[in-house]
Amino acid sequence: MNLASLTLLLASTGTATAVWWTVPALSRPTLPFGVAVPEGRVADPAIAHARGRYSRTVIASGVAVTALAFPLVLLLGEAVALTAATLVLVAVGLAAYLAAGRAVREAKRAGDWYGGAKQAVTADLSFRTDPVRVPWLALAPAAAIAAATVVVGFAVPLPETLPGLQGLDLDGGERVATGFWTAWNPVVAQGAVTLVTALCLAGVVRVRPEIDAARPAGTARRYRVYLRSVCLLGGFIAACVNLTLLGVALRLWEIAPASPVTTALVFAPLVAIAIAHIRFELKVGTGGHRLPAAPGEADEDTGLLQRDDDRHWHLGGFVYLNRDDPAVFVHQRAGGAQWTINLGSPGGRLAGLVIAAITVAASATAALDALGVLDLPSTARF
Amino acid sequence: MRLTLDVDSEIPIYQQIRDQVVAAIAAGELSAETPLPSTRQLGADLAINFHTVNKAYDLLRREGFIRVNRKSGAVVRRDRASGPPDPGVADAWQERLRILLAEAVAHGLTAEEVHERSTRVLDSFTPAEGKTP
Repeated sequence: MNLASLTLLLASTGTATAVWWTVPALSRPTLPFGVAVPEGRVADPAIAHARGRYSRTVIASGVAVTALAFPLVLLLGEAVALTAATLVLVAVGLAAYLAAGRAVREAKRAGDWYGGAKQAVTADLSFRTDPVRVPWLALAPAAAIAAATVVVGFAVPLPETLPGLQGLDLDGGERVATGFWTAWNPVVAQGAVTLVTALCLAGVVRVRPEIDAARPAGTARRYRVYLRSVCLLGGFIAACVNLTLLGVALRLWEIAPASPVTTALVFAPLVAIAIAHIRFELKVGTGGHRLPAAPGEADEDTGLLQRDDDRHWHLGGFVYLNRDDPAVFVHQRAGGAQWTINLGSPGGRLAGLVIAAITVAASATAALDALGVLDLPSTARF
Repeated sequence: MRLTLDVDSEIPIYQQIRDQVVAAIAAGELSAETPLPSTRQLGADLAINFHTVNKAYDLLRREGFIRVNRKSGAVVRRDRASGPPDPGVADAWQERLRILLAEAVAHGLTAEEVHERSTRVLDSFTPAEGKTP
């Protein structure tokens, strides 16, 4: 086992464990493990117990699977061991998450947490009559970086053949002849990143606002701040990805020297994305639930409770299916600022079918490749 | 304007939407020519079937509070500053008021109490100084 294999294994199992461990911490307090609970119950001992048990399971399984994966690498090879370890951790994490959700739901049912409460749902029409606009200037850095890459590409003569970009110093692998798709694919990717980010942000500001019927004024104000923060974060992420692609282009065009330091610099913006994302989740949170209350907001209470719509949420708050809801995209219950498709709406059903078809096709192709029926090109590895 | 639906109420959802839009017009939160969200958009925001919103908008349109056309969608047609009511509106309203007053009298409310409560409700529709819609 070499250093690269060890790093990859630790990175994969560490990431899977860290992601599962943070999912409940990123979720809104009124939605522990995808279960809706009244604000007055968020500190209930049953929820604290479920959280503790879940965290212990995730960490213990992460350590155990990583330890078992080391001999597996020597026995079955790096690729099989890494895939198996990650899949096991994903499955164990999901099982622990669902079990914690069941425990909370059971406590909610046994204690009749919504009993006697007046449940309601609130819409703030100002989000439609005076919507939050996407600050398109937030995408200016990403577009400027893409433009700079094009300028460099035209200003510097490209070599006749290009490196394969394999290995830790991005110089290994078979060299390829210089052509449009081989030389300019980082620029094409930059354009795609900028365009997809713009489309995502345009969609995000139209998604149903998360307004709490108990505190509609406060949650609506926070949601506006949240949307603006999401747009700024989106612009930052696009700029960082484009910066990494600029680095890849400089290496591909052999302007930047091949060395591990160059590789580290090329991928450093991706670390900045992770830091910005964590900062966003800690400062703002989904729907802006972590933002400080404005003066007077803390006392807001309509006497109503946000409607308990658990029956439409499945798989621990990851899957939403409500035929009466015309919304196609909604905020996901589990985890941080994420969105999911309403599989009950016609558009959502179509999108779900397309995603399912792609997943089945990709899995079948990979299986056929593994069985030797198909011969797919091998993936570049470090 | 915020629209809150009591999901356990005996009052149908479309009626709750209709009532709150009328109350918002009376209170000055919605003024004439203010656009309302599309039926699909409001349905999505409230997580209810858009046919229910359609039913509410249709009722509001028939009662003369909003107008709906294909291009501009639903728009508030009139408010308190739009002048006297359309012909026949006052009479139709008085018919409905008759039942409300009959309930009050049957329950033993005095004329003074009915006047006093009516004034209080009317005052609640008067926009406060500097209040923005």
